[in-house]
This record gives sequence, structure tokens and C-alpha cells, in this order.
Amino acid sequence: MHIMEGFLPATHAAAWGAASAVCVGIGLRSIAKSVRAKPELKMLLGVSTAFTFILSALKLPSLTGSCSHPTGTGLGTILFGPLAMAPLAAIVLLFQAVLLAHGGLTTLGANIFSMGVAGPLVGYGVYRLTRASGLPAGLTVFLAAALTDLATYSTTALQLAIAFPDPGGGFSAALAKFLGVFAVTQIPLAISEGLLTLLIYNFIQKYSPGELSDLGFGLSGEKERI
Amino acid sequence: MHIDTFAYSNRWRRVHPGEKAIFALCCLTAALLSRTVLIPLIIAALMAAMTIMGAGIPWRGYLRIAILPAAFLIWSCLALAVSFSGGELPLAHFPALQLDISFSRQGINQAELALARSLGATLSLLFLALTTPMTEIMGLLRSIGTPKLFIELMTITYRQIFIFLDMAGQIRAAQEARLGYASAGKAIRSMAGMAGNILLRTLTRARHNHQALLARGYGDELLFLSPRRNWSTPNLLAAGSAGIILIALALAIHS
Repeated sequence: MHIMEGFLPATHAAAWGAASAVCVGIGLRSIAKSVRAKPELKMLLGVSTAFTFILSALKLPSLTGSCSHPTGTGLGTILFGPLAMAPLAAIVLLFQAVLLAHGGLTTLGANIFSMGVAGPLVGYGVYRLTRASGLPAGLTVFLAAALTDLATYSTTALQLAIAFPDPGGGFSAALAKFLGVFAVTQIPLAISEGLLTLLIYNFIQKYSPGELSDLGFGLSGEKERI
Repeated sequence: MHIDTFAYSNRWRRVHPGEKAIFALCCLTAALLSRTVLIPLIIAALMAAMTIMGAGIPWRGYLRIAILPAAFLIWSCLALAVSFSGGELPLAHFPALQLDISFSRQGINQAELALARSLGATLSLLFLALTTPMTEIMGLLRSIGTPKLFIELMTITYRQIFIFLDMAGQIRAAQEARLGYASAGKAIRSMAGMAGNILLRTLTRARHNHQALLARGYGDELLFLSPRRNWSTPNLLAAGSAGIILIALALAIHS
């Protein structure tokens, strides 16, 4: 779920846009550096962005019965590291806005920030921490993907609460309200996305383990990341 | 992907993308800046009229595309209007949880404005999306100085999306024929199989594409020719002046 086109007031939209532009710039610079060292990475990133778009267009069965879609950024964070995710999320969100009328141009900044910056940073932190503490690989993948999702939606709730404080209780009441409204659908969704990512991981490990270590799923030590 | 189909087959396909973008972006800004519900609703009506009557998008198709974000929008606005900390119009009371659910007057006003603005903005975006193919939007982005790497990633992504969509559709049909989506547990397993398969093919395809490019003298940069479109002064004037008038109106009218 993204913030809709035109939903945020102009000042908020501009502020989030500026923050995200900086993050996308940093991400692009880091991608450019890796691409200079390994030219085939550019194609891999582009094709993976398309994969993320397709993943986010899938309808995911969530426990409450409502259908929602995965963000796909959890998997991307594990594969490419958090820095590359801001430009990737920017492209996915732009395509979602123009091709599916989902999200929007004015809220692009806010959505990039939640999906491409906050979520991946949390997910990556969780992934590194859980790996370092020696948990089973499957569990680390599940936790990283589920928490990336939750962090993304908490950030969205935060953005909405800043823009629309509650008339009675102010910012904190609004934050509690949006978190509560989202929790109904997003907690089951985060669990589904974590499961889906875990199953994808297991699938690839079963049929093509070589690809995983090439990509830096880190099965045979930490490979270089973008 | 009905939007993409319409973008290539509408009546205004050959109009310079810059003209359409200026118009859509001005209206988007006006909708966002307005402080009353009137201006965004005028913009919404104008955009719907331009898209259906101007660009010749069939109204049934337009409605089908617009209904989804609209439903989503109404749902989001309900969340805005509801308050858990006391409002003028109580809805429900749960003594056990010490929870009051109510609508507040201010919340409703806020929700009304957000709904109108968002509707105007969404239809402006739809106007651009339905009249201008993605490749031309990318050409526009290139001409306003977006980093080359970003445009290149976008180009690669756009070309792959349709290949993957086709692949996902075929795999899904095969899975459904074998009752792969009969229950929630099976559904998520099937979906993971599909996503895993597509991911593996993604990797292979990336390698093949790169080799194909190398074989054709790829030197670190993908070059494309944008189709030549002529700026038309009357269009530009009309788009610009309509946009500026709407922005001025949005700024001038207070509630």
C-alpha cells in the first residue's frame, strides 16, 4: 500500500521528495561504482527491478482474507544490499504510478523513502544481526523480509501522521490510529511476505544453489555487495 | 496493463510528450495547492473530459482503470476522518477496551479536502499515463537531465516487465490447472515456485542480455533514438495558460 497521488500536502510532498532524491543519488553513485568494476551488474539490476515490479504486482493471499501485494524489497535488500534499493524502488514506484495508477508522482518521494530507504535499512540491519548471531539461514531470510515490510508500513503511518495530525490527540494519537488501521492488514501481510521470501529462497537453494552464492546470499561467506 | 495499451493507441499519441506533461503537471500542482474542494473537482472533471473526449479513451475502459485508485482513496479518507480520541459524532464505544471511535468535524473536513485533491491529482496522472507511452516519458526524463544510469535501468526494466508478465501468466495458468491455488497454503507455495522460477530466469536472462549487448559493440551505454515530435505553439500556449490559471485559482480561493 502506497500513499496515493495528491494525498500529501504540497510542503510534505516536496520535503519527502528532497529527502528521497538525496538517497536515490547516493544509491546511484554506489551502483555506478560497482558497475564500473563489474559491467554485467547493470543488466542484472535492471532485470531484477523488473522482477521486483512483477513481484509487487502479484496478489498475495493474506490471513484476513483481503488480498494485498508484497513489496519485494526484502528480497532485493538481501540480494543487493540496502544502498541499491533506493534507485530500484524509485523505478518500481514510478512504473507502478504510470502503468498501474498505484501510488503517484507527487507522493513518489514519500513512497521511495518508506519502501526504498527505511524498509531496506531496517531489513538489512536485521539480516546482518541475525546472521551474526548464528540463527538458521531460513529464519534470517524470513525475519529480514517480514521486518522490511513492517518497517515500510510503519514509515508510511508515520508520514501520514505527520501530515494529518489528529484534531483531538495530535501527532501521537494520529500515529497510533494509522498504525492500528494498517496493523489489521499489514501484520498478516508481513508474515506472508516473509514466508514467500523464505520459500523463494528455499526453492532457489534447492534448484540452483550456485546462483545464490554468486549473488551474495552469503551462503559461502559474505560475497561482495553493491 | 490496460494503461500501457491505451498509451500507444490513443488519439493524442503523436502530440509532443512535453505538452502533455506540462499540462498534467500544472494541473497536478494546482490540485495539490488548492485549499478548497472546488478547484480539485474542476480539475478532475477537466481531466476526465480531456482523456475521454480529447484523447479518445473509451469511457468504459477509463472507468475500469480509475475505479481501483478511487476505491482505495475512499478507504484511505475514511481512515483520516475516524478518530480514536474523541470527536463530535460518536460511532462506537468499547468500554472493555476503553476505546471510543468517532468522526470529528475537523477530521471530516480534512478527509474531504484530501479526497478532492487526491482525485484531481490521480486523474491528472492518469491523463499523462493514458496518453503518453513510457518510452516517451523516459525520453522526457532524459531531456530534463535525469542521470543516465537511472534512465538505462528504467529502459532495461521496462523491456523486461512484459516478458516476465507473460511468463508469470503462463506459469500461473499451468499452476491453476493443477489446483495450485486451491487453498491458502498451496497458493503461497505455488506463488513462491513461480517467483523462484522467474528469479532464476531473471539471472540467466541478465547474463544472456549482457552477452548479446557485448556482441553488438556495447560500450557501457545504451543508446536510443527518441521519435521526433514537433512542438505545437497553440497546444503549448493552451496547456501552459490553462495550467497557470488553475494554479492561480487554487492559490487565490480560500475556503
